[in-house]
Amino acid sequence: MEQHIAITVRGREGLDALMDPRFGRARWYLLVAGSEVEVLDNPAFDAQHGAGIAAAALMGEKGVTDVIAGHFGPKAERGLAGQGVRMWNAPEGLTAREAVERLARGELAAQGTPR
Amino acid sequence: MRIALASGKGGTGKTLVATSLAWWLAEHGEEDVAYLDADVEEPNGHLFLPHEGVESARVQVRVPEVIPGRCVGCGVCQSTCVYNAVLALRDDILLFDELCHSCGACVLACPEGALVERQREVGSLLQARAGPLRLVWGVLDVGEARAVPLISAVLDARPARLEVVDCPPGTSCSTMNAVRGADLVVLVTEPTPFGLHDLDLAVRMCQALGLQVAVVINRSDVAELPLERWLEERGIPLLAQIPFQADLARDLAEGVLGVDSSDEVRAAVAAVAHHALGRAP
Repeated sequence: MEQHIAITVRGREGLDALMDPRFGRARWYLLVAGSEVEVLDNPAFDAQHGAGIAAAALMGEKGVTDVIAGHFGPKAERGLAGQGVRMWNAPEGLTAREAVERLARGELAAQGTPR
Repeated sequence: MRIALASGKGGTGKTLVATSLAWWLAEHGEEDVAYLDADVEEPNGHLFLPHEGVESARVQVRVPEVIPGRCVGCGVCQSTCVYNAVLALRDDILLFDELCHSCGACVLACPEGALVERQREVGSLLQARAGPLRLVWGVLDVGEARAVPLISAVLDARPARLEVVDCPPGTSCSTMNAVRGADLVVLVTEPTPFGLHDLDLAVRMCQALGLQVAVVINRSDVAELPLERWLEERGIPLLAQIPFQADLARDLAEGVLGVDSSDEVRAAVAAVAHHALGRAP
């Protein structure tokens, strides 16, 4: 099955955007599927509670198979794992492009175990 | 009648005034007085009021539970929940109890009847007697995120003719719930920039809730802030000022009740009582 990758980003400029270390409270996600790239708004980035769960639901709706972020909170992790989405931890300071390349080379650490 | 003691800022002396006021009212012949400690994350008023006959009960909230095999993955539960506490999977539902506000909407909305409600314990409700005074307090379970259901249990435990409510600090859901139904909210503050900043928030919270407010200034001599003018401009009655006293601080650290230590505290609670009751107790 083709990988649908979501990367947490701080800007709308595409693959050159810097990653946001946070998953649930990232302002945008960059969706990468093959050569297609799309910026996705995170409507729950400033939710009072449960931003991670709302973001996990969004990943499920968009058919994302792999998410790259700096860190996933416990509720987001439960939500993503429940939907079978793989979670990858990236170090601080990468661009979305670098994160995707590192994932392809198997250089990112996996978080949790999908169901 | 219900008198709530709140502050905005923590550590201004809510419990000092609340315990002293409740005890003083009961001692001055007011019948059926209760001290309700609604600061369920750190209840400590009972430490100042020697008591006996403690009765303890567990407090529960209702949360949804999935009946295995019934979910068809339609997602209605998830879109119904405004608290992000429900995540619909393909043929199952993930529930996040710590975010659930017990509204029951997901259970009503599920077209397959796949959700039911169960009880979940969140804390303990305690009641005891301290001489002429009845004590009620709540102890929230460690790790519990929402205090409101337990605060409600403390407020609704058993009505008394005269209730003194010790509220949590701040102006969040917990505090708003603790001041509800109060005939008077007495805000205890201190003349520091922090005290004034949070007093302003607390005053605006009470006004938004349509509650009567009055103020007691504690440690009134530790800083020179134009608090009196600030209150006057807003038409908020200043009921009493309690100067800093090392003896009082020492006694409080030993668990001595404020009214048993300080003439100024006695005068302050008498002024609060007079303002609240519209007469001398």
